[in-house]
Amino acid sequence: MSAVTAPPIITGWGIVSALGTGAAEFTEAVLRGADGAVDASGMFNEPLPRNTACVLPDFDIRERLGRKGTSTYDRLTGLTVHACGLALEDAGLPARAPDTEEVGLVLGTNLGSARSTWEFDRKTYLQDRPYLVNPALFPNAAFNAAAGQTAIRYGLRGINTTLAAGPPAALAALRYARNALRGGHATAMIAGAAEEYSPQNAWLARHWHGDRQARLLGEAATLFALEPAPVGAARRGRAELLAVELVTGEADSEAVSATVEDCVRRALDLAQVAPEDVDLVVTCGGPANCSRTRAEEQALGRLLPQTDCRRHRVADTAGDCLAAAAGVQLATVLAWFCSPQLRPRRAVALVTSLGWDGAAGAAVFRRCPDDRSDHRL
Amino acid sequence: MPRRVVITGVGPVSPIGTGVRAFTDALRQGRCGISELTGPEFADFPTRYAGAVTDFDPSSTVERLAPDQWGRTSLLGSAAARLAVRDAGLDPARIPRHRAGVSMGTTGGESRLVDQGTAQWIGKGLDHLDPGLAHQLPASRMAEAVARELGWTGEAMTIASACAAGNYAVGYAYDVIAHGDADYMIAGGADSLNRWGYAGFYRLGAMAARACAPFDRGRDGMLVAEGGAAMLLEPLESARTRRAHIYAEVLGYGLSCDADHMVAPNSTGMATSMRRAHRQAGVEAGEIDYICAHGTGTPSNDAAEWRAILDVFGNSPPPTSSVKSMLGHTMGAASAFGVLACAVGLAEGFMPPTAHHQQTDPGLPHLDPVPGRGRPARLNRVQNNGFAFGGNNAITVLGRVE
Repeated sequence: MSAVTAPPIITGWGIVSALGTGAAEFTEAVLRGADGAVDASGMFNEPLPRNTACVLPDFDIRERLGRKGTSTYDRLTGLTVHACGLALEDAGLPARAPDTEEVGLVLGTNLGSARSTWEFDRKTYLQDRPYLVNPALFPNAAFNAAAGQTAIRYGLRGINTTLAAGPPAALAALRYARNALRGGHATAMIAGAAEEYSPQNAWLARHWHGDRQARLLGEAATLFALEPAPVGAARRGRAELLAVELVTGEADSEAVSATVEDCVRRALDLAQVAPEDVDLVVTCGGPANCSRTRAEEQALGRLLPQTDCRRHRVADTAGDCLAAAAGVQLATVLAWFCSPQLRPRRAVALVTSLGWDGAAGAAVFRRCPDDRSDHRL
Repeated sequence: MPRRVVITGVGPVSPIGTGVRAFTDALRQGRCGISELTGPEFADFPTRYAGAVTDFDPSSTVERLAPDQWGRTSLLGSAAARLAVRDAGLDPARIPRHRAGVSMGTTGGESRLVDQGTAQWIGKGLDHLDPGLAHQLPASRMAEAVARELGWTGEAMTIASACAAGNYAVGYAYDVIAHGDADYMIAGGADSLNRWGYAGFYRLGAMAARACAPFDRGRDGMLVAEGGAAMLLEPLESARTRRAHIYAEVLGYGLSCDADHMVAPNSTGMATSMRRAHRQAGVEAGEIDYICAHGTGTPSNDAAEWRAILDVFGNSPPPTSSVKSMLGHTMGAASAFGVLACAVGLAEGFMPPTAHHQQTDPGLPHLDPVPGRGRPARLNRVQNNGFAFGGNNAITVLGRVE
C-alpha cells in the first residue's frame, strides 16, 4: 500500500554524551571501546541509587552555549540545543532564518525534564502559597521546552514536535520525520531524542526497568538530520533509513519478546532485507538477569539464528540513556559505518528498542556509498 | 496517490458531557462546564474555577484496561477511544490489529501522578516513591493505554507538543492512513487537572477569575480544564464499504514554530501554520466557512490569533468561535476537542458557539464570534486552530463528505 519512494537519508548528526561530543569524538570512542562511566555522586544534593553513571558532570550550559537566551535552560534543554547545533553543522544545513523556514525538529523524550517538572511542583508545596512559583520556569515543566528552545536558538520555523515514547523515542522521532518528509511538510527534519541525568530519573528508572536494580544509567542528546533522497552532490549521506517500525503489545516478558520479534520482521520486510544480510545489530542491552533484556535477546536469537553479524550493546559503555537509548544506538550504528572493519561497503544495521510497557521499535539502516570512507579512520 | 481520510467516530469525555449525544447537545446550547474545584490540592488558591470532568468513572466505559493500573490521563483518553469506536460502529477485535494504531496528544501526561510523587518526595524522599506510581508515570503510556484497551498492535504515538498536541495527533494519524501505514487510527488528546499546572497558569496571570469569555471586551483569561477527546479515522473507501456514518473528511494540516518566544503568542507563526494547512489541504482561505479558534480567552492570545486570521483571511474572515468558553482549556485535549466539535458541526449542520459573550472586543474588527448558542449552518470547509508553549502551532482543515 505504501507509496514507493526512495528512503530518506541521514546527512549529518550531533551527539552530546559521556562517550564524546560531536560525531567524530563519539565515533572514535565507540570504535576504541571507551567506557563512559564516571563518578556522578557529586552532581546533585539529592541522594542517588548508585555513584557511577555515564554522564557529563562538567557540562555547563553557559560555557558551551553562551549567556544569551540560556538563562532558563534546564539540563535537558542545554544538551538538546548543543546536539542540534552539532547536527546542523555536520549536515551543512543552515542555522539561520529564513533558510530554516521549512526545516523541522522532532524530539523524542520520556517525561521531558522530570527534574524540572518535579522541582516546579515541589515549589507549590514549599512556598507560603502554592502559586508563588517562578513563572519563567513554568515552560520547562512541560514536555516540549527543549524542542521549543532549540527552535528559538537556530530559527527553526518548520515543524516542531515533541514525542513521548520512552527508550524507543529516537525511533519514534525518525518515523515521525520520515512521515513529515513524505507528506511534504518539511524540506529537512532534525530528529532524535534526549535525556538528562537527574535524581528523579535515577530513582524512577529502577521501577521502569522492572527489577529495582540501580543499573548504570546515562544521559545524552542525539539528533540526526534527515533529508529526502537524493541529496545533492555537495552533501554526504551517512545512512539510508530503509525502515522504521513501531508496534504495541502486552507488557509481560513473553509478550514483549514476541512483540519485538514481530516488529523486527516487519521492519526487515519493509526494508527488503533478509535476516542473514544484517551486518550489525545495536541494542541497548542491560543486566543479563533483566527480563526485558532477555526477552529482546531471545527474539533476536530466533530471528538471526546462525548469522555472524556484529553485536553492540550500548548500555555497557554509554549507560542506559532512557529516552535517548535508541538515539545512542543509532549514533553507534553511524560510528560503525565509519569503520573499515564493518563490511561489506553497503553494510546493513538493525536497531531494536523496547518501550516501558510492551511497545517496541525497530529500524533498518544501510551505509551510504562513500568513496572516502576507507580513508577516514 | 494518498488515500482520503475520514472521521467515522467521536468520543468526548468532557466537562460538558460524555459521549457524542450529551456533548453535541451541550455544544449546540453553549452550555458551560466550569465548576469550582473542591480538592484539597486547590484549597490554597484565591480562585479555583476550572473545567473538571466531575462524573468520570473509567470502569463504566473501558472494557479491557484495569483502571487501577493506569493514570487518570491515560484513562480519560482510553475511555474516549472506546466511545469513539462504539460510535463508529466498529468492533475493534474484528479488524487486522496490526493495521490499527493510535496517536494521542498531551500537555502534562500523568500530571496528577507528578503531584502525588512530589508529595512523596517531600515526605519520604525519592528513594521511597511508590512503585506503582512510578510505573504509571511515563507519558508514552497514554497512547499505549488506548492500544491496549482496543487490543490493537500498530504504532502508539504520544505527541507531547503541549496545548496544540491534539491537532498534531490528528495530523499524524491522517498522514499514517493517507500513505497506507495503517488502516485505522484513534487520534485525540487527554490531560488531567493538577496542582502544578494550575499554579503555573495562575502565576503567569493567564487565569480568569470566574468565566472564560474569549474575544469579549471584558475577557480576563483562560480556565484550565481536563478531558479526553478521541476520534476514529479510516480511509474514505473503507468507511463507504462498511456504510459507516461519516462525520467529516480530514483535508490536511499545517504546523509551524514561532522560534521566537516560549510563551508569548506570535501572530506571524500562527498565520504561517494556517497558510501551510490550506496549502496542504488544497483549499483557499476564502473557502473556509468557519474557524474553531484556539481562543483561550487571554487578552494576548485572542488579539494575536485574530491578527493572524485577518492576515490570512483579509477583512472578511468566516465566523470564528471558541469552544474553550464552554469546556475551559483542556490542554493536550483542547485542539482534539476542537476537531471533534468541527466534525460534529459539519455532520449536524451548525457552528459551535462562543459562550459568555457580551460585547466583542473593539480591537478585534470583523469578528463574528457566534455568540451564545450554536448557529445552524451548512458548512463545507472548516479550520481548527491550536497553539502552544514552545511556539508550537498546528492547524487542521476538515471538509464535509456528501
